[in-house]
Amino acid sequence: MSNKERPETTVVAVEEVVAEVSPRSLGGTSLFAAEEPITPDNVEQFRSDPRDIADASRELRHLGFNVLHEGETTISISGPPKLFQDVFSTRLRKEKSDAAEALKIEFFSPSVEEPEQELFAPPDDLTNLVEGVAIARPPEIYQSPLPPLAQPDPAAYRYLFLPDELALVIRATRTHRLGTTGRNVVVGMIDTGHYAHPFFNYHGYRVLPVLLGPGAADPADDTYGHGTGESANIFAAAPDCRLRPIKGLVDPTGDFNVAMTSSPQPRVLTNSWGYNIDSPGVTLTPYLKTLEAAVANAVANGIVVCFSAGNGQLSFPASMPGVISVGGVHVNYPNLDLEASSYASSFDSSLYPSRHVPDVCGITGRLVTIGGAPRAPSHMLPVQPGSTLDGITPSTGASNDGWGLFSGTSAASPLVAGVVALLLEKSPALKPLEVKNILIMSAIDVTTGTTNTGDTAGPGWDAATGAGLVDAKWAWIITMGDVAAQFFEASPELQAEMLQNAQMPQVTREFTQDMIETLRSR
Amino acid sequence: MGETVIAEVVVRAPDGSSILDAPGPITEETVDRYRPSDETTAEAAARLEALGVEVLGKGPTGLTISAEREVFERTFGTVTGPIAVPEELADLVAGVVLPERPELHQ
Repeated sequence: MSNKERPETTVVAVEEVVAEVSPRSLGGTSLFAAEEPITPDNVEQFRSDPRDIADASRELRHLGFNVLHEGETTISISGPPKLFQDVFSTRLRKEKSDAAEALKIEFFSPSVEEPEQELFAPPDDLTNLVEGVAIARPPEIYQSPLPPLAQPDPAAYRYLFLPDELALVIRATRTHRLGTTGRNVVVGMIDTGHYAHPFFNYHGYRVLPVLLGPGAADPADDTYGHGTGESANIFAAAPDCRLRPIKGLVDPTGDFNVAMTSSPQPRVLTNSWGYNIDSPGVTLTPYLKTLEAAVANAVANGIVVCFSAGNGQLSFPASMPGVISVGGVHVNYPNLDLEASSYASSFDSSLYPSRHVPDVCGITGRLVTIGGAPRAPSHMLPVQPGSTLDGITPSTGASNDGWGLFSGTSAASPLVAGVVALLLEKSPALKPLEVKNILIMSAIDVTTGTTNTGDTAGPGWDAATGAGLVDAKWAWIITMGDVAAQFFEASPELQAEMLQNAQMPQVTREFTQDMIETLRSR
Repeated sequence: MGETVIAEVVVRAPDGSSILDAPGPITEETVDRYRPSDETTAEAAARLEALGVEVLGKGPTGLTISAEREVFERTFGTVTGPIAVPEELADLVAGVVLPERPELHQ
């Protein structure tokens, strides 16, 4: 790997000290004085009386600390360094830990010479309640680029691994082997941010620096996990595209404007969010008019804009006529039978007469209920360890393993955006409407299944899935048809130029054979 | 640092209209009708900055702004909306609107 490609080190800055406080243990021996390892068999004696926990928390708050969590053995607190220094008569220094490759996390540590001095004695008025206070130290994160082998939830189904299994189902694998991988096409994604999970680096995916939308902060963090996880769908379809994450969603209009003024400007913008407002009698609020104008402006400037249709919502801007609205198709194991997803939306727009959502579909889960909550756990996605979606049900194992199972239409839009990147690599002059038409013409028909909003799929176009599931290979072939048409209509000089620039590839025997096999496999 | 308020400012098109009084949907075919001139946008930005408001960015039909809560409240009278456009901006600005958070489709 060249220096240019090596990921820059991300430093997670902190301004507050975090510490664990141990209230008086029930067994009489301090947690910090235990001579034996603390195990499930003896942890009981290091738990604290709930009244002691409540009293200690109250006193700590009184001293000015934030009480983050009251556990059975310790209380988590935070506060500014000066407060800790004053209360515990100590000195603190800032350090950086090597948490993971290309990731450093700042933390405060006691400025002491002996390790045993790292335990702070409580102030006088807490002596009877608290055994000691230990400053938290960030662990090394043993996150893996490979997902865990979690047992599928009994209520769910076999989940899919990215990138290979998604690429196989939408037939992007065939396109990749013909040399079209989305190379250098910039795909923008407005979402919750992007965390540098080793999944991306190990695969050699190219992620441009995160841009901050209005009101967003901490570009290295994606504490929710949505943007990081869903972006993996883009690379499943277009492994050589360049992803531009825009961390935002405080003000999506402003996020669109950030995307439009960024350099290089994205050719595709994917959005896995929306507003559940496209119902009869509803009009756009003034704020949503500004968003409508921002989206329309992007399309007017030749940007292909994809929006997820929703998971039961009647979602705007997915219903805007100029965007590609992306619904959901579920893939059944082992036969890869396709069905309209019972988790995904489909609807006739009330805001835009004669507009139906979706145009085409990506891959999503179908609806299951786990722990009383609706879920679609079809894709195993990389997320920031400890982020909200790291802990979503069904579990993938530890809640900080850096992986989550979630795949509504949020997963479908970026997958389709990846297919768009393939088309734009092959035929850069395509306009948004042409791209949409190619996806519609080439989609795989889905003939069964009912969406969350009650439409049932059938042969040909249907209200549940629109044209059906995107087919990267067939879309690529249609794009090739356009290139071939341009070639045969061009002057001899231009034909020579097109061949020289590899715009019109040599049609080899292997290519012809592949075309025939592609036709047979439809 | 205090609470920061973000908002979108809708700037008037050359004919005085704006997206807020558009009779139909704004699409890629119609958005140009509501595009303010560069001069009007620049003048609106300058007046907002003179009021102590930071201009974060420019869009096709307006500006993204932010301000400390106190400055925002002093300038626009509220931080919860609906917002009345101050007199000194009214010839250039059709409206100031607060963002609405979308839902994720996870």
